[in-house]
Amino acid sequence: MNYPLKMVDLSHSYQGRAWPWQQPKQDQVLKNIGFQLKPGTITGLLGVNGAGKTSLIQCALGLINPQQGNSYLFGQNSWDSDHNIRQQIAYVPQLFDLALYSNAFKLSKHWGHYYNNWDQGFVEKILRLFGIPENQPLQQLSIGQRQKISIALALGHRPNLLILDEPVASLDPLSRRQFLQVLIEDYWDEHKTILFSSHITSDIERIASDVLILKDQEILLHQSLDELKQNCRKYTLENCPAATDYLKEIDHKLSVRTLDDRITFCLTEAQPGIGQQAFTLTAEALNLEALFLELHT
Amino acid sequence: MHKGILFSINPNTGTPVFKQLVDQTQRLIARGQLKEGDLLPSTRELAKLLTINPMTVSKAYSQLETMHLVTRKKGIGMLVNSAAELGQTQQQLFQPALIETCLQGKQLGLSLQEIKALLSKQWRTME
Repeated sequence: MNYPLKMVDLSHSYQGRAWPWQQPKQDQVLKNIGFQLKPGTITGLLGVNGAGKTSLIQCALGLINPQQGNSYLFGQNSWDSDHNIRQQIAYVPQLFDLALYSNAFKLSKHWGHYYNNWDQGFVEKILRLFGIPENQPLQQLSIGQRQKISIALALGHRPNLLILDEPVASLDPLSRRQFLQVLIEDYWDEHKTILFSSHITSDIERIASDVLILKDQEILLHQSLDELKQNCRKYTLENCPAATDYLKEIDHKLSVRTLDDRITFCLTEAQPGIGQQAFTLTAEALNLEALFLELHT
Repeated sequence: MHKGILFSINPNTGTPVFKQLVDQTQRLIARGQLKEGDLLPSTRELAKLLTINPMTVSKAYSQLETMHLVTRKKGIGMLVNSAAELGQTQQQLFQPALIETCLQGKQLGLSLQEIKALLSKQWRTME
């Protein structure tokens, strides 16, 4: 199967030194990354600042040639993928700066020349929906407005793989909702694959089918969001002597904390027998934000 | 009437969205707001209305189909079956919420009487 995006054992680090007389320092940004996106999935990419999200996206797009391992777009190596592959993908960067053009509508017409199946009418429809002024120079527009233009441009050729790096970071709640609606109503169908990084977990919870969480440059978790929510629980034990022994036998527990006579811990996968003991107080379901915080404590 | 407006979901909780849709449909059938022969909104329509992933709606509909609560009619859509298919009464469907309420009350050290009083008070504010 030709996955829209696939990475195999990919690692990368930047080499640099602050001053010429210093020893060069290796700064690892990605460690043993391996995953694939199935067609039709919408994946939310999560991680704290500096976890490696942008580097992962840049490797996926072929903007970085990884030192180890490979990234593939529809079966072709990202680093030297050809024109046909590039026609099928789109990218919305964190910061979009193309202030040279006199206005967004002119820019979109020029942009469209690079693509075989550009739908100018569709792009203009989205630009109007987002309230982008027709005759205002780009340098007079706000960061949020430029981000909206970048989103509209990315959809113009109806890419099979859409990669967005914090597309909504500068958008207000109303525009964020509009953005999600455009994605669902006007763009997505079962042949379109989306990967988007965001810190706004409630957006991810609305439209993502899967989540990919990066922590310390590695993949911590890549799972269906529904499964994750059904399986992940935060347990609270009352500290009877048996509880401490019992706790030792549990594998893969996260963020174990003790306060007075209580122990809390988190499990991302259901384990047989959990919750059956006499001393189990509660098993609490977590939303994505709570889960993300638990994974980082 | 468009049945979509009967649904409301909160994606920002620990319960998967498809599960919320399934549970809600059960309650709507039990209450009689969805009747035998009613047409559910199409996957796309409901996804659009609630701003959620269309696959999530399909997943919920498939599960409802497996539970015999709805029937997929080609070219028409999802039709609601008789409430008799529920196999659960309104009281049984209320059970999980009841258990959760009692559990939380106990954890907070409330007595049965206090919980009863709070319940009536809350009930009155919603009447």
